[in-house]
Amino acid sequence: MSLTTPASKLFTGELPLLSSDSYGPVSSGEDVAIRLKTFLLPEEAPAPQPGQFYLVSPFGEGSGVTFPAVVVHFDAPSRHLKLAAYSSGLEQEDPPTDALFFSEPEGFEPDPWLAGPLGHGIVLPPEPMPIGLLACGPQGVVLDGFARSLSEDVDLTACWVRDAGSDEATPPPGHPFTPFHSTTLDEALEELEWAEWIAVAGPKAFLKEVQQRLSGTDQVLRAYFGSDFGGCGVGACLLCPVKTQNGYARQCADGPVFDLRELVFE
Amino acid sequence: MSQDVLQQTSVDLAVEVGPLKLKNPVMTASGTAGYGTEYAGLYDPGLLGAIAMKGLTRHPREGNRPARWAPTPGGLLNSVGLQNIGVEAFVVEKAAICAELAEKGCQPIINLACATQEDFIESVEILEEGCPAAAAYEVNVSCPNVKKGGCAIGADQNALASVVRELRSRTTKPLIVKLLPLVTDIVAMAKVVQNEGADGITLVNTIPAMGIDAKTRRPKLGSVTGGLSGPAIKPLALRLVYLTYQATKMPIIGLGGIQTGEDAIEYMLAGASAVAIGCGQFSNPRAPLMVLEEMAAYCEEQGVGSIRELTGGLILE
Repeated sequence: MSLTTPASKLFTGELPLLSSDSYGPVSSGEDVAIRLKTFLLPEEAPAPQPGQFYLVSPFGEGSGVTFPAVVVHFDAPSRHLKLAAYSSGLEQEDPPTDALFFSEPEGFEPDPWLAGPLGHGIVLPPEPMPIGLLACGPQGVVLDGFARSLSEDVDLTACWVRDAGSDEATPPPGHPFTPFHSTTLDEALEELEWAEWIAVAGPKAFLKEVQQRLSGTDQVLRAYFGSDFGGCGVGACLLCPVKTQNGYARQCADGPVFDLRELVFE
Repeated sequence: MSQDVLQQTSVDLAVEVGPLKLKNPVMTASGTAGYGTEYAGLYDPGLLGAIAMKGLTRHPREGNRPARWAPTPGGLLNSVGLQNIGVEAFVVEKAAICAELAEKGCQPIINLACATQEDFIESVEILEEGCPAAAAYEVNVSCPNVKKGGCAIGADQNALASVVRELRSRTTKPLIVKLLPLVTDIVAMAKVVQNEGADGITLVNTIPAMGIDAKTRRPKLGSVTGGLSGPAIKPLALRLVYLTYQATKMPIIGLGGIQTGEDAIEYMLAGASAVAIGCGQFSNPRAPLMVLEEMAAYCEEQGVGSIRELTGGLILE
């Protein structure tokens, strides 16, 4: 590694927010929703791919809260960048810091600060093959966002596993965009038997369960690991470790998407 | 912030931490800026006075289990546990980075956080041979997140004296000791290292601390306890810098909760010769440069020709 790392490797800066949309809740009994926001990415910033991630600080540079958001779409001519993440505490005056995109109070619309794209995103295999998406909980939002970036000819099955103990479908059925349907984990794994490549997003316990249940298959398993994310965002501070068979990796620089089979759940 | 601003300022920003000469007083705190290149995609680290490298141990360390951080009001709990590549790998993989930083006038400071005196000695001997561009050693005897070494050495005057004495006899490079903030008498510990030939001290490391999640009844950190940093500890750190400077006049690198140029100026008025930015980089990765620019602006506004004039400049009457 050299100090001559090109400045174009990462983009950082505050970006004008062009539009905002949300739907939800995605988790029963909680005030959690999917939020989609579109920004104007400057010409000098490298063009991102759908499935890559940006680190976002919702209240602007220096606000102290940063979380990853997935690229849903990037329109090169207009430089419009659409990101997805989850939001919680929508009705609270003082939103919790574990939410990425807050529902801003009226008249309060700061330009969020973005850095990225981060190390490794969700990258589809080069050859067409049956694709599966398996989501659970708020972390599943990244797959919902990713699904929106896929063309209609992708051979796709997308399952959103209900939260434990929940009888509520997540996300709400009938949403005009989402390809997901609500199911149990058993049903989802049965449906995804034919998929050769599966992306998984959910709480650590969910990832662990899926890893164990699919240990005997030869499916390619990519996992979004969005827990305990924080720190510098550039791989320097080592505050966001993920245990792998090769030691600790960094969510920001080495992920936040990993080979699920290589993750070690302690 | 840009190189232009630094070139245009009329303020002499150069400082000295004992024999260690810095082109400006701002550096990154060890453990927050990796090995000096991680932020290179965002700004040129060569613009800073120094980079304190990620804490090194004699042998590689995997680090502590997650979670390694938790937010607190006004601060950040962390417990990385000195995850690092070890001295030998550092020489092979990172010595060239030190040389490149030095070429740019940014002093690479090697932070050593060994578990035993023997490890400290061996590490310095390896680095003397394998990393000639290292500008100084920061002897970290205050990490709260390891079971061996760290606080155990930093809290024991005899052990502390012995480590500094042994290292002093093995290197002519500046030795800066990062002291433990939670001791009964910080001045006594500073005098111990001063008497053994240390060239300066760093105040402070993170404050031993912990967090508990009441809902789950579990600790917030994987290692249960950790260290507290951020604005919450700035008043504590300022006091220690002040007391130590008044009693010893030793060169001090001050840190703890610096987010603005004004924060940094306060440290210099208390007695610091230079300042380090730690977790302030997490919310603003360009914080070191912003702080430097604001320090230069402060000096211009106050008619301060050389920033060195600020060290110990607190008005008490």
